[in-house]
Amino acid sequence: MLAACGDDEAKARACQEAKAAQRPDAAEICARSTSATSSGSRGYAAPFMYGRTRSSGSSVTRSSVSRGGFGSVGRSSS
Amino acid sequence: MRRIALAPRPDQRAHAAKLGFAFAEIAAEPYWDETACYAFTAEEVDVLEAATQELHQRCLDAVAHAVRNDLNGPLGIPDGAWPIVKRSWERDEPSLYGRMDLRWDGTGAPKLLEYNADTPTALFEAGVVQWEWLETRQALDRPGAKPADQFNSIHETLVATWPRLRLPPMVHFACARDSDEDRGTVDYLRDTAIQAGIEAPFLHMDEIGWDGARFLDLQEREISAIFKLYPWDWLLRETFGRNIPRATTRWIEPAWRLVPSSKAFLSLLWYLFPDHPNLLPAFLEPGRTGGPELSKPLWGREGANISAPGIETDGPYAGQPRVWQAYAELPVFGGRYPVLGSWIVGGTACGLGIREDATPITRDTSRFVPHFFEGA
Repeated sequence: MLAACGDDEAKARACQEAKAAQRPDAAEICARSTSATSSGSRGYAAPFMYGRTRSSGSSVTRSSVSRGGFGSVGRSSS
Repeated sequence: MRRIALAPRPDQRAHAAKLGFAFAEIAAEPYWDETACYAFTAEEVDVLEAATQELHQRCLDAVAHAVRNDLNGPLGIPDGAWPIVKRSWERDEPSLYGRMDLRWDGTGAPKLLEYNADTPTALFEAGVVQWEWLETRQALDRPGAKPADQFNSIHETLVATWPRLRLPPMVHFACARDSDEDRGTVDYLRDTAIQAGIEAPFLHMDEIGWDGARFLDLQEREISAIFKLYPWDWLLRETFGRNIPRATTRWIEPAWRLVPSSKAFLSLLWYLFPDHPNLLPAFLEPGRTGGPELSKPLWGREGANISAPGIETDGPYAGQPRVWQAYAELPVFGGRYPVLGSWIVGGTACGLGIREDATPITRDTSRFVPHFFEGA
């Protein structure tokens, strides 16, 4: 996790340095940086995650409510 | 204290139907029995009321002692359940009601036989049915006479107590399936809660849902508070029992009522208050009372698995640890053995219901008989 964050930070820093140095390949460097970041959180995982969370969120709510965990013994008065 | 034989009202079934008393007969046998009633004097009712109030206070003292000293072992409460009980007590979660079963014949001090502190029933018939019986009986039998009274402010006290329990606006009510008596009791309590301004939906115990963090009803509303006519000793051993500490649900009766519900509590009372006039000697071993003894399982109910001189009842609790109590045979009135069920609601002694049997042991087949008193 820490390595991944470090990777993202390194790529973002490389992008900033490339822009600051007005390197001709700055756009490509920054694109890699952006796609690397957004592919993790938005480009692939996000729609899938949101979709699953939303659709299975309600179905999980329904299907994850278990019942019958009380009431197995019988009549209870005294 | 007298037992008076009576001709029942000819339309007693119509009266029961009008009240919604669905269990006036149980298994085709009479449960509500108005072929007799018990008559008390006002002074006798004062004795019962004072004894009940005194016992209630001593019971609270004993629960505090048990919690403070972690006496769950002798009480038969598993270690795993004890934190739930302690937390409930330390949070001062209020109790709604309880019924003390007393042995008394109108002389001497009433003696506590046991305390139904968790799932007492015979409430509707004590609070409503016998009151309606008194009113209609007086109109029939004694028109114009000074009305008799009844030790019975159960209904009014229930309605007045609900708002004092610090509950949310909606309280769910639940019991097991397939018992008219349980359902009738729960529906009556719902009615008292509704009269107190509480929203009171019903569900069966097996319909309670769990979503990983909360107990839910069938509409998937959170159960923030629930009255359950279902014993704590059952709740805690069932699959969902382990979820109870994880949820914020308020339970009525609260979990600390498990302490006085254990029959071993009778021995704790005797240990703390020896020679108390309203207690019978009780111990966790046989032979210490100095006389004939009755033994009963710690978590038994309805007179099951009782052992006493000349008496052995059957039942499903034979394997449980037991308590031995000095045997005080019930008095006999007209060939019947009455037990006086004295009600505590919201901490106040407020009414009486009598059940009698043809044997010295009160069972689930014992009949409810009304009472009145005169001389106030």
